[in-house]
Amino acid sequence: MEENIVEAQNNEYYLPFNISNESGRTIIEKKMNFFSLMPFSLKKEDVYKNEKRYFIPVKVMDFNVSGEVLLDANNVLREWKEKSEKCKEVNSYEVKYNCFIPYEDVLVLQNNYLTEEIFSSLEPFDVSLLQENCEEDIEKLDSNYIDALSGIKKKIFKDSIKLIKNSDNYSEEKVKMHNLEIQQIDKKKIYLPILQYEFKFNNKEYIIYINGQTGKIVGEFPKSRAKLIFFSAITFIIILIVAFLIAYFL
Amino acid sequence: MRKIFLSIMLFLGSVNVVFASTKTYERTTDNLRVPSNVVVNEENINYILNTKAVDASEKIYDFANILTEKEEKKLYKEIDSFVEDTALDLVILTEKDNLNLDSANYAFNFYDYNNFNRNGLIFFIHEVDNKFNIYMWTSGDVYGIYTQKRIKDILEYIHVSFDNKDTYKGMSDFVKIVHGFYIADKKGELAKIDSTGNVIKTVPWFDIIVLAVALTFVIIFSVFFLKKKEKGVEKNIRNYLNTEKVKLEKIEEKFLGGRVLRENKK
Repeated sequence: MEENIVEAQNNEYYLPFNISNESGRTIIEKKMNFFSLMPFSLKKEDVYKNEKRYFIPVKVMDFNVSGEVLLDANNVLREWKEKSEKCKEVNSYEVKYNCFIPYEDVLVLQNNYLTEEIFSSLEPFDVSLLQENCEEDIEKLDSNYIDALSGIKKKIFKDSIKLIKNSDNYSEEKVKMHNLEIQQIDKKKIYLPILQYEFKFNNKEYIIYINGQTGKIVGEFPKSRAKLIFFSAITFIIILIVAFLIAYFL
Repeated sequence: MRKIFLSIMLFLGSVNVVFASTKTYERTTDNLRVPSNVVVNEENINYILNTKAVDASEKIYDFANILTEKEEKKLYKEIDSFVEDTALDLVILTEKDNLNLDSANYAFNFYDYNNFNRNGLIFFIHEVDNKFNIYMWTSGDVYGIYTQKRIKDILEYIHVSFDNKDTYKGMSDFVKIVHGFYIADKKGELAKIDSTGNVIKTVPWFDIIVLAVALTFVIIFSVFFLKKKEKGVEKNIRNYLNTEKVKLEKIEEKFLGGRVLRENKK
């Protein structure tokens, strides 16, 4: 699947977003400070060893859900108990709605390189800042793209029905029937900037991802036990002193 | 006139100067000399008759003749100061050799069947074969101040004086310590006895350590290990909903009817 991803090397590729060559490094350097749990022996050079920049092609689309919905709605007026029965006095209604529900700047991608969890953790991306420069035919680029699109549509549909059901002050609602249509509007095709760093520490491999636009880091760094013990000890001593002073003088 | 005046002064002086003695009074079935709250019945009458009846204002009942007159006077002043300050009673009772009862019941009966304050302490020294066995008991609502632990600590401290046959010091320290605990309790302080017999403020180390450990765990965990879960596109499509442009228009609302629904709880 890596052939679907455009790998940027140094400045050879046009960078359509606000990130300098060094920003990824700066972000990591800030994280590797004294007050983090990262081991002192972890060097920045080790982290930068396998630096890769991935531009993942995505389509940005708008979806409009519109049409008619018929609901079974109930208002529970009161509840009470009679011996072994639970009783409810209910007024029932049939309610018809006309709807227009827009979803904007939805990113549609299917990429096997990044898992759903990592991608959603890297979000959000501000697509208005990302210029349209992706000329790839994304549907042909990734054969799973169609599945991704239908998956998004299903989610949008479910979300819209929930929105309609919760829109009024009825105690309970059930969708009896609906005639809704989803209109999809292509907006643009962009590359999402994601930086990846791979490194090894104490024979364990680590991969870090950075949102090239916001600097958000996803992934785990190694944790130092010695630092953990040190910070725990300092915290414990400070709390002990403060508690003693309070107990003694108050 | 002057002689009468002097005699009156001497008389008044002697009435005010009440100090310890071993004077007892006889109890009879017609005059049991018990406090009004004691209910006399077949079970306790013999105990009452066999309990020494004393003047409750004397406080020190040195039947074992451990203290000198001078020591008794000094000790009485110390007890008087405690009684005035605390409104509790404090009784020091000494006996020698065999008693007709075990120590505890002997002391309880002595306190209960004489006119002492309902709330108070009794310090009982029982001399047997030239050795002093010391006991402390409470009466009334003072167990909150003089807990089992404090009683143990008090007796542990003063038994050294009795082992060294310094009986006056032991009794004087006793009064000083019980007074110290009373003052600490009124201030709401935790207290203990230091090496010189003074009651000093103490710090609840165990509680502090437990609190420090718990707080350290919470702080370290929150700062270094707690991860905020972000909602991504796949998890929540509502991130992309433009709420300002949403239109939900109710075209029709048909009232179908009211009814009662019943659901069996079982």
